[in-house]
Amino acid sequence: MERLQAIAERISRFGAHVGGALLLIAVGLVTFEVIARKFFTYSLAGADELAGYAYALSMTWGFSYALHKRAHIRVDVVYARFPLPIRCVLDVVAFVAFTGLMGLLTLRGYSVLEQTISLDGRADTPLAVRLVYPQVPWLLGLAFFTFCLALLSLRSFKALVTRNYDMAHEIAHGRPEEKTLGDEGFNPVELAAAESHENEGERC
Amino acid sequence: MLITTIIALLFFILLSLPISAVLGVMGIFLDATFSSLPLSLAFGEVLWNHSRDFLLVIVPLFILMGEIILHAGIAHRMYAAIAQWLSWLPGGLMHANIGTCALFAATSGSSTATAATISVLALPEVDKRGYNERIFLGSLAAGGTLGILIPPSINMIVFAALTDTSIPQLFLAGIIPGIILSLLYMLVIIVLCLYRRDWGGRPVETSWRLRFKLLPDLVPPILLFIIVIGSIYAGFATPTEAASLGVIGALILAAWNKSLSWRMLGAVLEGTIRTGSMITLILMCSFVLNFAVAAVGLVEQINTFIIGMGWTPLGTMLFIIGIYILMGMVMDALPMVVLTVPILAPVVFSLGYDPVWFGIIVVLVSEASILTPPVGILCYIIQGIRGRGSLNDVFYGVAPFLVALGTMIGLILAYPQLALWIPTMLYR
Repeated sequence: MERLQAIAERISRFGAHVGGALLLIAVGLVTFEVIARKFFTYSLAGADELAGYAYALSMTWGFSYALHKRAHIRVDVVYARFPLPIRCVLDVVAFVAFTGLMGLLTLRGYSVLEQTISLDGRADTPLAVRLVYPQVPWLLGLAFFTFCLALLSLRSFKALVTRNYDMAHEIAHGRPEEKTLGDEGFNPVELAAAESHENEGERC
Repeated sequence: MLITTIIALLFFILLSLPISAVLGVMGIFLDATFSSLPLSLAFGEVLWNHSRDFLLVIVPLFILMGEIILHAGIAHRMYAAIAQWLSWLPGGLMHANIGTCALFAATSGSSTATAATISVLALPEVDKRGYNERIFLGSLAAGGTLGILIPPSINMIVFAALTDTSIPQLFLAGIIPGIILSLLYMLVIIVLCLYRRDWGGRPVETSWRLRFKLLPDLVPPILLFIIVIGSIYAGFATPTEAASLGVIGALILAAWNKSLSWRMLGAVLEGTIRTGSMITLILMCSFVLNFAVAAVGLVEQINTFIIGMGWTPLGTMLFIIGIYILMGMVMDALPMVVLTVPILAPVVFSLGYDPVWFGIIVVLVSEASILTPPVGILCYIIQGIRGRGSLNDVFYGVAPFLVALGTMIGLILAYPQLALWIPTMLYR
């Protein structure tokens, strides 16, 4: 299971890099479109639509990356006041509920894809993109996120029943060394980057 | 239905589920408990349609722009220049803290990034010039809040996405309150330092020659602000397109400052995906919840309940603000906003309040929520960078600035035109 976890984390990191690159390409396309429209009265139709797909793919694949970086915010006012074993139980409950939710949403996403395939759905735009192209990787991103959640649920459940609370805590909150950012020790700018944009509170 | 829903919500929060899961699970709960039709069959469509929404592309793009600015290392030049211009006031560099935060906020949509960046630069000055440490820390936290009030602002985008409010109008509406709040913060510093001269530290060496010599360092951030905000108002670009231009502008700025590298770009993209995905998942789950809330008629119930209380619109608004201040103590801004706005906003709008105006109120109470103990993320971050003493020093230091923030909320309540004047002039 540990090996599977390591592989999942590598895939999600790779996904984050590809997603980031997609976003940069979208930025390039959209900027080109704005400038061409303004100064050369030439319109590159569809930059907005492609940017929309880049957003869908980079973010759904990013969900699992954010999960492995423990970036999904939890409200922990009450949680923080419980002793460690109860917190570990709550962690397992949180993972299982999250897995169930994303499992259901992935299934519903699959129905969308099924319908697209049966109707040979195309986007209602000048590009008339066959929707199956963006929807397949989108759905795979959702499914991979559900898989990562299920894996963490299993691992934290296993740690809980073997009463390995430190392990359970680590699975839910990350290894302590992950919190000291960078090799140079405390680096305020990287800390700022890590803490920026309201990803506050306890992470899951 | 109302009471069951509130109990369920509190239960899921008590379980400390991630906030996106709370929203999604609430959607499924409402569907299973109150709906005669299986709403969840439509969740897939809801998800797909919002996932590729061009308007929402703005979320990762402004985060990307902020990440680049954060790594571009332009803040220290801004700080030095603003210190020359403002530090003659009683309170010295504390005014530079506020001023630099305000200018940085004009290029960044995040309060935490703003506070962290400026704190790293400013904190060494406490010992060097003998400032009252608590007030100095307070000025940094207070300055940080300007990050979400002065456009661009991630929190305004989230509010706009949840309520279908115009992003350009919200951005415009934040400008005047942002300037007034900066001046109020500076007033707090002046009053405190006139009361106790020794709190204001030893003066900074300034000269007119240096003032003008450093002035060009303020040009890049102002230029970036004009590119992003100006292109929206000139009708030249949609908000998402303006964010793209901003990203390109920020990249040029980083290259000009010689901080652009593959390593930097990798860190920037990872940060963008991490934060952007987190916010996007919250948004997606709140769209699912919104769909369920609308379908089961929960908004009408709350509407009837609030109107049944027989309060005036102002009374209701004060009640809502009071709830936000209380919630903000135990919660941070983003969870508070996504949990409440989808349900409260329709009620507020039906009372006749302007959506853009309410957006500014929500941003102001969000600012309070990231400052107030026991859960105040800006204070945590500044304490983390300070790395000594007690967290309580920051909370004490923030207290006088909360008075300024409260005054600002009062001003917006009494004079809605402060927020609405520019949007009205340009759009209505």
